[in-house]
Amino acid sequence: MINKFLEIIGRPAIQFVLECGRMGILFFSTLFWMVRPPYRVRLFFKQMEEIGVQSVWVAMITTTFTGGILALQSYSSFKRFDAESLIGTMVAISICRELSPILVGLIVAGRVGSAMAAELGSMKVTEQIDALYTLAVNPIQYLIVPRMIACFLMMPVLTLFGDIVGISGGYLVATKIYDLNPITYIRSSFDFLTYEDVYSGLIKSAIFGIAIAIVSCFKGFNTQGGAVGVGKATTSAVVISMMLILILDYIMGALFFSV
Amino acid sequence: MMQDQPDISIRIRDLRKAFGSKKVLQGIDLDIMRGESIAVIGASGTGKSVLIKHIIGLLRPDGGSIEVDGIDVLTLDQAELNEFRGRFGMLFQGGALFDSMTVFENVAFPLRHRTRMTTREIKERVHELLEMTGMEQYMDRWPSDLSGGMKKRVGLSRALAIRPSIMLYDEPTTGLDPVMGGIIDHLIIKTRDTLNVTSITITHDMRSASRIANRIAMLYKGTVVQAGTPAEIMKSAIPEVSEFVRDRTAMLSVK
Repeated sequence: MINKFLEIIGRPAIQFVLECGRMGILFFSTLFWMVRPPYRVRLFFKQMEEIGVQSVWVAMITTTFTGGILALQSYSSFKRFDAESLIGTMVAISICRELSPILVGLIVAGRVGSAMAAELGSMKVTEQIDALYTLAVNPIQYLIVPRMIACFLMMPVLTLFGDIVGISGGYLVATKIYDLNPITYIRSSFDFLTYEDVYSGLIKSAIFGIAIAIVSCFKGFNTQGGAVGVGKATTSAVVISMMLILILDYIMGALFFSV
Repeated sequence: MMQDQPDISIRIRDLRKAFGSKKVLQGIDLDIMRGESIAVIGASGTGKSVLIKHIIGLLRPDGGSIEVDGIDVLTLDQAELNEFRGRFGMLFQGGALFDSMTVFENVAFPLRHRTRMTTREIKERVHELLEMTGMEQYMDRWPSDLSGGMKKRVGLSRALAIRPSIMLYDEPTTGLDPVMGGIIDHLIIKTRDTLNVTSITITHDMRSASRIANRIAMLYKGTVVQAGTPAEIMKSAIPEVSEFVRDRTAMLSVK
């Protein structure tokens, strides 16, 4: 009875630790293959396009509305303290420090992570990944390296765009709907915003980028069992990267960016 | 060691591998000579594919040793292993063509990534390779437009692109009609004879095995129970082997 109970808890726990370890190994192999020639620049630009350029619109629309809703919701509460002039500060800091990196991360995880897991997963089940090995083209170098670098570089770019349009969204709501003074709003946005607020968000987003790429590629590379397996790999890639983004955000916030 | 016996291409000693509690390979001993064509037969789940994956270093054994052309596979690191695999060509069960590329691009892929050939040289070489398997008129097609046998023929062209010295065939005739199976067998024989490569074929098709192989090794429960010429295998007195041969031949007559 006790044994059975321990087994129910222990088995998934062991599975979890094993999986984390294997993802870590994949991450370090990716670093190993990253520094070795040949450097496949074309593949890298293709991934930048796929990950960055094609996510720009969804990322910007999401952050615009988030900036807008922040201004909208905070207006009624800030008004009670006659502190409407601080709405700009609140929106700018929340967007740059947390909301833009997190939302962009979640969107990229959904859009790009799922595509990566599905693509690599179907390559895995049709033996195309094994074929790369036998053609002496290392699949980690050929498939994962460009994806990871592209995610790492494009996430901060998307987040920076998100910062700008998020603050603009707040500005539009505050000045057009609540008739706050535009100059006051802009000054309150930028007077208190520090460089650290911006770059802490950008650094976090770059780390999220690595997490999304590694989790999704790992799930793709370990797909088993045909079309059903590809579906499962895709789902778990998205779910795990989304959770990981929120967990990493807390850890990094608590350790480095809490001041 | 290799210098003493120059004609052994692959030497496998006491190879062991388990997945969890399932022991798949339980001490395989096998020598494969240079230029010979060997067929590894056995029912599904006896570890044929696992054996091949060990030879090209896709799996690490739990025990034993594998030497290919005098190189101990187990001592190679990731990067050396990648170079090492260049000497193999492998034909996969489903062809394993890259479905995001045309037939031409598939065959050109190893040439682009592994050689310094110019675009023009690549074009000529791809033509030559596809002509050999009779697929040159399908050059601009996508893999999804091809039948199973055609995919395998393109896969063979691609595998031969960087002139491997050892060819591995994973169930080359499985899922094909007898005519297409015959064409593939013919191509395997042609490859062996014209390019002088060592061939290893895993199969459970006895007819195909006796057609393409000089020697047949039978796997049973993770060990080699018998290795010998096709005639010896056909007349084998070992019960596991004779039973397997009888079953497969009976299946053929039902067809």
